[in-house]
Amino acid sequence: MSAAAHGAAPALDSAGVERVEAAVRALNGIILGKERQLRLCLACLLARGHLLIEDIPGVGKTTLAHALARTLGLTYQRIQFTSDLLPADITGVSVFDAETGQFRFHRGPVFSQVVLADEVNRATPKAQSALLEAMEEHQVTSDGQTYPMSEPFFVIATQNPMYQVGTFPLPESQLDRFLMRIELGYPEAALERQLLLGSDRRDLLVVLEPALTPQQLLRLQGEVPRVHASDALLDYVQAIARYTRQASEFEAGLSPRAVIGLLRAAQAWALMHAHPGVLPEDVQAVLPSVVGHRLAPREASRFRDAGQIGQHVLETVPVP
Amino acid sequence: MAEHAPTRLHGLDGVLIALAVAAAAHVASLPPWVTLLLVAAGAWRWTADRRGWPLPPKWLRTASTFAAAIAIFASYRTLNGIEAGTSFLVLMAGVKLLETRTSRDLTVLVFIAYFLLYAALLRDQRLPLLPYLFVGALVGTAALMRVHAGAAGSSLKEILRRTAALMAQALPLALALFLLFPRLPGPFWGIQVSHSARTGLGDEMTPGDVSDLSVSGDPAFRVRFFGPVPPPVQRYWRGPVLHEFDGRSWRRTRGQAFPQQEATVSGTPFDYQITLEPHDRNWILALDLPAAWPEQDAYRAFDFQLLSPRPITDVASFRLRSYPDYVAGRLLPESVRHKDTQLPPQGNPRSVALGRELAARYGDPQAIVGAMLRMFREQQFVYTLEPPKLADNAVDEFLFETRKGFCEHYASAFTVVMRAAGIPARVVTGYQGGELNPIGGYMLVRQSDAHAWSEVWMEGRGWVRVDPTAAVAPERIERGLIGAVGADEPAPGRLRQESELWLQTTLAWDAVNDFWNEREVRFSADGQFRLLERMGFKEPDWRTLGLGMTASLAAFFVGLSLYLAWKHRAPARDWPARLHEETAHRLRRRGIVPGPAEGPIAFLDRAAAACPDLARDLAEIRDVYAALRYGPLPTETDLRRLKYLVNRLRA
Repeated sequence: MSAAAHGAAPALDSAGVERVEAAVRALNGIILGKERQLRLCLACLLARGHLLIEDIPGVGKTTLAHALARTLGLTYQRIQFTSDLLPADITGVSVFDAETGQFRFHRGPVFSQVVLADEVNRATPKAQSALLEAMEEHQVTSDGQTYPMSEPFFVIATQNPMYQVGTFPLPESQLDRFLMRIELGYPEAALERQLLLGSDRRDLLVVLEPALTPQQLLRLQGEVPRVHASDALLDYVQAIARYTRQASEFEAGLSPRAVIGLLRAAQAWALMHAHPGVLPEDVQAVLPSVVGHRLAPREASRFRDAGQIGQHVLETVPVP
Repeated sequence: MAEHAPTRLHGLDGVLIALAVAAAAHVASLPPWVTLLLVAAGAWRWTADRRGWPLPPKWLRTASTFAAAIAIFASYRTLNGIEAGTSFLVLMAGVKLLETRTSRDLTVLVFIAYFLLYAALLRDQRLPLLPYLFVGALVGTAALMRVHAGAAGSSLKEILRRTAALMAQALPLALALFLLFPRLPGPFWGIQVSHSARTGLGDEMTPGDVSDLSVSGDPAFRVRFFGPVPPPVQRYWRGPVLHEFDGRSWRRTRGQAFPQQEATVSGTPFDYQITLEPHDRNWILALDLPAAWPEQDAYRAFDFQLLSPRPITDVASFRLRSYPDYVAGRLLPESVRHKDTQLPPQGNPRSVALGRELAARYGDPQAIVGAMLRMFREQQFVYTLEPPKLADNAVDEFLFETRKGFCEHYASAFTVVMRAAGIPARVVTGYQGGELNPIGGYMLVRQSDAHAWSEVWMEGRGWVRVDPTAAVAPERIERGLIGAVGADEPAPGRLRQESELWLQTTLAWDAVNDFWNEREVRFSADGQFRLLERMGFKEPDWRTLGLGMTASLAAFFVGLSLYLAWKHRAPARDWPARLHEETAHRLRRRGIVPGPAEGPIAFLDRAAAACPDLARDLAEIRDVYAALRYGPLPTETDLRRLKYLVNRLRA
């Protein structure tokens, strides 16, 4: 991908973009050989979306979330979802303060800038929806009182793809709340050797320097919707949406929310790569992660994995 | 394991409806247990889908398949033919329902439904079936559309709209195939249609039994005259000639060969085409007396009845010529004379005595006939469609006691008396009358026009038609059945006669039926060749037909492709897009082709890497193109630069 910076690119925070690159470099040192996923993860964050990572335990989901928080200088909390998790365990609870004689709201772990919701599918739908509501509204309401989340607010939820007894996989309507879903996958052999030889990732985390301030991050998030999307590009996005709605391969097409998400993610991607406007390549880069969990194939055997769904859409819809 | 909510099979309801509609076309001829099993399978599958029941295991499905085959074989002694074949197909559809899990299976079921609809045509090709089949095809296609519409689905209205559009698009194709698909001569694939009870003349007549023939207003045949139309009194359509009398019933001859008899004809002939409704017998109705007929499709028996070598199981047409003036069988072979003067040794003594008395008194056959007709005319004989039932000596009872009856009674009694008087006589059954349809320009003869009369042989004149009914009720011959029976007696078509609107409606409906039979069902190889000749082909044969079909199909698909290409034509491209296409075109010559999922920028990057000599230009094209097409501020300068660069690439 070229860094084509030809022509005027107004209001582009080039310093911010460089800092994002620095963040990618820093993260790359922790999570080996997953640059693409890291970039997608950052794009998701920049587009103010939330991320769902679906993978088996031990591939570095927690490390990724933790490293991300540190590189971006954000506060971080991890919520381990279990079957007995209550909504209050996530959002917080009002406690009676004997000194003041009043109830005081104790903010839960969700009041953090980066929240890792580990194994969301192990909790009951009730607990899940407490998190999903906070994600959607960017606020928590308790006893009639509304508490806004700290900004930026980024939820990384992980889900174990192997359904086990007593799990509640997120229904499709909830999956739509996540802008992207990615899989980390096993590392390559050479990189795994590095993992085996190198020091503990957790030790590396401690020495990780923030590459971005929260203020810079917020500014970049504000830039994303302003990245230029030309008519030709919107035609392409709409052609993709139309195809998913008409094709017989899928149960249902992309919702308008999903299409907006696709454009935002592409804008974030274009911003990260300092493109003058959104290129079709930017859409193509984010599309598999954005649509993979939203398009349910009518016949499960048709596609091997979610990535294939995105690839199929890309190959079928020509760039106008 | 988290139990997944049972996924409902999308579109099952529609497919079940389509299957029901298709199977309903056969219900009348299916054994009840087959229908019942299909309904049970459908109901079970529907409930299983609702409740999330598991489908039966493989061994059970295999066993049901075999059981179905065995059951069909047990009831039909074959798996072949229309009846057994359709029953088998219906049962198999039921078994298929038991293993329907995917949209692919549902698609197969819809195809079975299509095939069932098509099989209905093997049984019956008449017009009234057509709208039903059309609706069936519509339902099937809509069900198919729904299966593939996705869980979100389209609204029923949208599906129906698209189905209707699809069928309308298929129409020209269907027309081309109808006109040009090579026809197999003879009955369709030689499939024997079961001889179900169809109305028509029988080969037996029993006056005194209740006759249901005369009350059916169904069409028997239609006639198109080329030239003059015979007046009502000459409209005698000759059918089976009955020779054998057992005291009650008249029958055709069986297992006995008689010498052919000569007929000389004179006067103006009537040329006509007669189109018979299927009656499953091998006789061809013909105006008295048929003199010319298609040699390969018909022959004339010794008693001047036209016969077909095959039973008429489909609508059949014959081009015939008849002469109203004829002398038939001037010389009477002894075997025929013997046959047609025979009476059972016992029974009907008073009639036999009457015959002998007439013979003794008049001697001359002409006078004997006249005396008998006079008796019918002058004594209290009544023409009625509701005669009293007659017992053993039916003719005696009729002639001397009840004196109420219709054509069969008169023809039978007359013939018996003539035979007793020693005059060779026989009963001719057929139709008398016919109604001209001014809309269709043809004559319609109905089952209610069925008639019976007598033929007597006289020296020098041969066989002479004598219609004793005409002596009793001349209106029957001149005005048809309605004119002959009393006003309070129920008769078919009375409503037609009395209501002008109803008359016009029935005439129009019959004309449509006639058109269908003539133009669609009877459209055979000959018709195809005639059409090709009219289109300017000289001596068309199978090759012309195949060529024509291929050409018209090709034309259809080329036209369709052109239309689709036009409809989905690329929108007018802006300059940068055109220049990019131009660049891609240049690069294609160098063997660099954009991949299916490759964006323009990635493509140019790849091209630059592949062509080092162009790398700098391509990189610049890429940047300028990205800025022009996707950038926030495309400028005229950029466009000029891009044009220049692409032009340079061309050089």
